[in-house]
Amino acid sequence: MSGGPPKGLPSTGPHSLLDMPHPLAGSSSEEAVGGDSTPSPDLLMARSFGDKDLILPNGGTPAGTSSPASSSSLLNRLQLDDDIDGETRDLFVTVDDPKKHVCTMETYITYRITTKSTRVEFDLPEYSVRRRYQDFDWLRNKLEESQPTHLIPPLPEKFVVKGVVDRFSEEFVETRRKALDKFLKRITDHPVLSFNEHFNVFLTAKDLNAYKRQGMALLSRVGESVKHVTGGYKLRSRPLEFAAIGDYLDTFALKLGTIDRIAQRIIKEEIEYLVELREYGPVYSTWSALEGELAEPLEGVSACIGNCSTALEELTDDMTEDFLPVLREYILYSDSMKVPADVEKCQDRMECFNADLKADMERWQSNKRQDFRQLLMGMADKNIQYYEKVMSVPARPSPLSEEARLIARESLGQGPARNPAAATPAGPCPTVRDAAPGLGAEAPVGVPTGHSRAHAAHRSGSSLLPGPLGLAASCAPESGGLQSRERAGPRGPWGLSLKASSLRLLGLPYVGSESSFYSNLRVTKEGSME
Amino acid sequence: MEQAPPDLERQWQPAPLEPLGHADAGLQAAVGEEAEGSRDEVPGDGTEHALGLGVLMTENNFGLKKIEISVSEAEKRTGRNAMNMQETYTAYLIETRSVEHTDGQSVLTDSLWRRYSEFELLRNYLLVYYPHIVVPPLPEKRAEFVWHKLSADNMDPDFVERRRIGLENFLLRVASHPILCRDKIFYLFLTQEGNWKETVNETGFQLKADSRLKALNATFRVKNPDKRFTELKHYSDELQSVISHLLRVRARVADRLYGVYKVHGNYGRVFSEWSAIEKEMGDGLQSAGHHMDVYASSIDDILEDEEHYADQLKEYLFYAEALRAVCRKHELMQYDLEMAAQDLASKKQQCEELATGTVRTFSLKGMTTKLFGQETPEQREARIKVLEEQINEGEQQLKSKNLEGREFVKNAWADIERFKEQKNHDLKEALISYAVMQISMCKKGIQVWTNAKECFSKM
Repeated sequence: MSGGPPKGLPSTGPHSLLDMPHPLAGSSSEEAVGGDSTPSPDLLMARSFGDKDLILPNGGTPAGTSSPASSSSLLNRLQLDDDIDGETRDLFVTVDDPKKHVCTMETYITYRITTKSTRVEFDLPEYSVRRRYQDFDWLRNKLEESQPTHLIPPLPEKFVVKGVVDRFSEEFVETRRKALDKFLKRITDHPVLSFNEHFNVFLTAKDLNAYKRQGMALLSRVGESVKHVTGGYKLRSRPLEFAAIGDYLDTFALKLGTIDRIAQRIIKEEIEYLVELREYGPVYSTWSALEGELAEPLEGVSACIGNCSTALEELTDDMTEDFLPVLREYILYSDSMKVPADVEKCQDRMECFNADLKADMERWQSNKRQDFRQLLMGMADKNIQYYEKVMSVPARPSPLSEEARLIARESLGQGPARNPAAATPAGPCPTVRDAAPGLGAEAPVGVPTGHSRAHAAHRSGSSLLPGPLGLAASCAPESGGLQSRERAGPRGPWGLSLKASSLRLLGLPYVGSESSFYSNLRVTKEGSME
Repeated sequence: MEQAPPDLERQWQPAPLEPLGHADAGLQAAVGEEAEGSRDEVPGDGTEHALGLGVLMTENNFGLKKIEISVSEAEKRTGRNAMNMQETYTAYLIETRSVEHTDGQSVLTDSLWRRYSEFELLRNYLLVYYPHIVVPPLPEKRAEFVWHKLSADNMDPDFVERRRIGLENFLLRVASHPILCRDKIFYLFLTQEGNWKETVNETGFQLKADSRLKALNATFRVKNPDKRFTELKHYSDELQSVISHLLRVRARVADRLYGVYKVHGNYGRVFSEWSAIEKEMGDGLQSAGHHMDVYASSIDDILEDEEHYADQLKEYLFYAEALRAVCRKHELMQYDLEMAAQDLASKKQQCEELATGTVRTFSLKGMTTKLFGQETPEQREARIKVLEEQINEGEQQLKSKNLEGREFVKNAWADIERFKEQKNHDLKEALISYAVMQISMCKKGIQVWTNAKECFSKM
């Protein structure tokens, strides 16, 4: 199964990498684009094949001449390996540097595609070409045609409504660039697709259009039978085991859609909150200008609110730029796998097709798990950072914030970092979910009506008095915050739960004892009661 | 520290009708104490009286019996109103306890039910008879500055609860005011359920109240009010405006924050649904979803605490009105004084003219004299006499008004200083507790998201 040394475009048949001279070993032509002749470090380290019989197939078979048997056996072998992680990769593709081109006929954007590889299929270790969206679209179509049994990653949206979205705005271009980068990386990671001939050309050819024209001619000669085979065989017309996958993808996309809507709604609410905060903070400043002794604490509160506003803005920006696009891309991705299919014509190819798809599905599942883990952890992180920023000590801490921090530390105990396994609160857990009626699976995201109020502890006036002694020890203990709160201690006109010691600290006497009124009262009552 | 207020008879004196079974030697003695500072003839424990006097001056409470007032319950009642129509109202239970200092035990001494309108009556009475005092305000009559989840309905249990607390606060404020606490009507308010309204009305305080029109007139026309009061009036106007604005925006902020938190609850549901179709990811998603629920429900407590902060601010919003009332009274008195002085001056002028025969001021008499003939010397003499009497009277009045005015300014300003101290202290506390609330909210948020992150990492 070994072939000769590589020449230009991919050769047929798989061959062992070990048979070939290292492309960089000899003298010649490392004319990596950019004139740099030293091989890049990431290529050098990709040499740990050892006795792992990684016979990498050449997936770039022209349409119609695929060898199903070898493909699936190779796939089987690949499945024995672990995920191909960074150290064993030998192909790296990046999309960056968008540039606008203005021609007489049209204006468009191109992106630079940088490829680094040690594969035999590539003449040079490095390539740099420019491609536009059209070219990506072409590539995808070719991949679908030539690799009908595999799941091809999706592209970002083709059409944009002119006038609604600015095709040349930085944001749009950046979002698209990221999606195109993702697209190519997914192909790169795919053990079969990455060896596709068209892919190779896409990455390397100086004049892609010439190749396109050539390819068109070739295809039209191959004939109709190809079309039948390749006619959109996807997940739909599958035997039962794939029906389950189809259902899964349906529900999955549905749930992602809901999450997308929820996330959008949250961002919208947060922005509205931000708008109000921006008006709220300055009012304290206005008040502070009226006051003498209170001026400082009031300014302090104003500054805190300002701090909160800034942090919130960062949070909403992050979520909009990082979270939503990734989520949406996944929705597209899973949508792209549900293209309705023609009825399977070639029964004998069924087995092979099934195997390929199954393998792809599993890869997809595994990637999906990782991607979402990362995505959701990122979301949690951003929220944590938001709260930390709000709490952070300003450059010049005011007496107000210092005092507040002291009190908070006292009454709330130490900081977080409890065992998360014990995160479920001991007390009754108001499951808002259960209590929230009427939110159908596809219903627009709504705020659940009616919040439960478990506040038995507010009786007999011993709690929650507003007044001058209002030190807030009212915050629940750290354990989940759902247990009824303790309200011990003497009351004052404004006492939330107070300790006698803190009362003394403030130098205030107990109520009623300031005046002789009440001691006289006792006397007179006794007198009258005989 | 506090001088005897001008209207001594307000304190400790039985109303025109025979009071109510409690008036006795003790009260007289207390009056006596006020005036003379000696208390020999009073029955009961002598120690207490000596200490009782001492307490006015110091804050040292050792050995004293303390009195606690509380508004402990609220109850819906139906009854017939003035027009004999069925109505529903809320009644509040007021309990008074005396506390033994040594063992901290408290003994219930009085308990009775009052409704909001009776509190209002009490306050209006206090306003009339203590115009130099910044009288503590009542909690709002109707719910204002509500964010949409709170009900604006007066019968809503949350509103009733907050009002109960506000009423208790009012009573405690009055009870801890060195002058107001000694008022008889206030004492009766706490101790005598029946007939109290009649007693108050019998004091005739409504008649003594200054008409709004008069006050408004005085505000415009007064020429030389004490500058401090003018400044104070501006301050209280601005304070009122800024706190109103603050409360309005705060209510909107609370609304939005509520929305943000609650929407996260939807994550809980969808994660749960999603976890049903996943294998390895299922557990992590499910438990993360639970934390989202916790997060969403945590906002209720947070906003409830903030509501108390808002109540603290509201009290001072209403206090601004009380400040203005004192300023208005000063303007009224000052205007009165100026009018009296003006009147006196013009009478003196007239008198002089009559005496010397020159007519410089226009008077009807002068005109008619010119038109219809001179008056006789006897008539003139008579008139001069009358005027001289009036002038004398006027001078006496002016003197006493002057004195009154100065007393008022002195006493009022003393109470205003006291009020300023109280305000600065209270609001500082409120702001600190607000900051603490915010910190606590952040900590809770961090906790929940950290837990969720942990769950995600196990997906």
